Amino acid sequence: MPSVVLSPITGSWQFLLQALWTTVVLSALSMALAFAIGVVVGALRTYGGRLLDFTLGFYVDSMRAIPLLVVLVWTFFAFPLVIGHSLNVMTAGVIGLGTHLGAYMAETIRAGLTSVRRGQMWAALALGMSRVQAIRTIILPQALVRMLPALGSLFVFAVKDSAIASVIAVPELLRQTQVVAGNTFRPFELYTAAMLVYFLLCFPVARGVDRIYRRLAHLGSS
Amino acid sequence: MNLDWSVVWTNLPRFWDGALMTIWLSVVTMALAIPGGLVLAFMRLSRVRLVAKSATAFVEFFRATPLILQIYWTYYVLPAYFDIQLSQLTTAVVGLVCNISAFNSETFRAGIVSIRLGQWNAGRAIGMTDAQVMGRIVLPQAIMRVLPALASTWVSLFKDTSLVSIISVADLSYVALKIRTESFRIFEVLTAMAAIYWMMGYPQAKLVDWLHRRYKVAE
Amino acid sequence: MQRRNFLASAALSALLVLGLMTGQAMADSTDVPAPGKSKKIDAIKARGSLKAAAIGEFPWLPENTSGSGAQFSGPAWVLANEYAKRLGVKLEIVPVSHETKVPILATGEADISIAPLSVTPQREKVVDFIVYSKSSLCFFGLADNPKLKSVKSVDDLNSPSITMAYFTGTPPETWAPTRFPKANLKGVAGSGANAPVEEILAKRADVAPIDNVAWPDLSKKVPGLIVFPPGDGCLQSNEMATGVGLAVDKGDPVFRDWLQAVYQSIKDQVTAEELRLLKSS
Repeated sequence: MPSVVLSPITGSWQFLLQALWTTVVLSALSMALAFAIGVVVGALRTYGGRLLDFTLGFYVDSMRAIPLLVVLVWTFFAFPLVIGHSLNVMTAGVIGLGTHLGAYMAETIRAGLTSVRRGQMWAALALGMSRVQAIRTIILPQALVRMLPALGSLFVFAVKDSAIASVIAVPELLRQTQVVAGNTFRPFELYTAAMLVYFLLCFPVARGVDRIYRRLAHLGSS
Repeated sequence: MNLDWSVVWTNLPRFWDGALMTIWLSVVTMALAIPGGLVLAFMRLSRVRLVAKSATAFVEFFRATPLILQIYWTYYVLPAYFDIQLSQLTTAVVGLVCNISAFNSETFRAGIVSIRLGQWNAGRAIGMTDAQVMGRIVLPQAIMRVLPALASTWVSLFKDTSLVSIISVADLSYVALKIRTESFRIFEVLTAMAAIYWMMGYPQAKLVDWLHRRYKVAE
Repeated sequence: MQRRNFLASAALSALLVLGLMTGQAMADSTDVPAPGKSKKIDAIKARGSLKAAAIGEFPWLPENTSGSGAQFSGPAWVLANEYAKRLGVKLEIVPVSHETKVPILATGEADISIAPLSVTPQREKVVDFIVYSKSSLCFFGLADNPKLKSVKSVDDLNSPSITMAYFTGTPPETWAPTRFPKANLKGVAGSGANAPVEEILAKRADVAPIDNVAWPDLSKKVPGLIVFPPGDGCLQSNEMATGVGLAVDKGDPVFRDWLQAVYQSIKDQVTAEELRLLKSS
């Protein structure tokens, strides 16, 4: 077995650290976009009537059918041709990742919203609140607490999926690891290090969310 | 933007071959990952701590790292450092099977654990061994319960196969991207690629929804 | 008589020099073309940035992985920065892969492609080149590969028992089948490396092509490799000898001519940068 050498990592650690930062930013931004899409789509599907439910269901199921790789490549190469304006890689990455994750987020939020007893919505309406007020002040907060474990696992998805953005050359961790591996011809050390970094990023989040949820679960029960 | 869709029609046979490879990869991976997941689930439930811990480590590692990186690692590191010679296709299958087995093991474990302890006790009370209880009472019920979750994993797997294109395995993504490069017709080819995946995946997603409704467990 | 001749020849020389100077000033093609002459340049100035498609490749555009300093170095980088400076805009890098480094020019997403490109007939049909260097190929493999023991020259590689790996989207893709019709050719995706070294190390392929200027760097970083033409013959190799340069889409000859003129004026600087990188590796 050939030798293991740490110099390729230590020689480029700042470069790789910047790449890790890009991964974190990319995951956070796509999570934020997904959340925005998810709240709107999830709420509309729950409270918006059958036609909206069906049409938006089309979006959700399409994102379950089309691979993220395809969504990203299309967003970066084909979408600019539609809007007549070019996108830089980071923007395309966030849009692609956020739109794809948004479908899963919408389903999670929909499940959370429907898990809050309907009586609460009737009570709110009886008190004279509008639907939007009821959702915003009563239903959504409880639903969000219940969805914490699912949201945590979606965040882990966001981080893992950010690695796929390497195919459109977003300078995130996987991509920059490939560049250094190409320059130094030492793939073993670099890819193993990258695996460890992703593990250290994702594993605590998954476990941590479980812990936090156990503390807060009572806030979401009704 | 002038579109020329003829590039899609003339290349239909190649798209078809790519789609077949995608389907083949999904079927073979799932066929291997179901027993793989079962083995891992049993290991995790084992009373031998070493076995349980190592299985847990394997599962957590494959669930917390990106599949695309697992594929690269298997592709670049196994042959050079561990002298294991695998073709690209085998490498892709190995990477996919390890990943999906890890997810399946969680599904199976949750299913097995969800069968009430009372059934175990009842089985033992009438003289069955643990293995018999597992094989004749618990497992059959557990499998029925996890069927919807397995189906969801299948739909994910179908999408995950697109990642093998990065190591030049000729699945639908690889073929489509190659045609895009050769023909320079970016919009047409990429939209066709998305459409073909959609046509294959959308019915499967609806089928999974039906499975979830049909096999919902209420105890 | 003498004085009149002297005066006459002095006047004549003065006129000549004046004429030459004016002629030179009028024909100084390194001036940025006036608005309206070149659509590309007008668009670049309006946008405020020169979009250059790039993917790193030693020694013409090596990517800097130390974490600080300029993103790239090398002759292509020197040229790109000079262009941006003269146009009075900033240089914007558009990352690409090997498959998209040429097609991106047709979409207009990049104004020039500074990824090091070999001049090939297929590419010349769609783009124009500003050539700043040249390269030939050598072929490398594992020294202890039994199949390579009987190989003495590049011609011996043309055999059905030899598998050759190359990066898709690069010139060997179309050239290799003509040079090595009997060998097994295998395309792999690449990103930033000079050659598919992993394919060789993983023993999935026997040989792979590499630019001859990049061979010394590779042989230092990865022990246990052998090259054809053997030893120093690699640097004199003539396999697929091509120019290397940056590319611009056809259709704007004023832009292209200006790019070419600027290169000519800083040619020495560009070549010196390449030599500096080759010496320091």
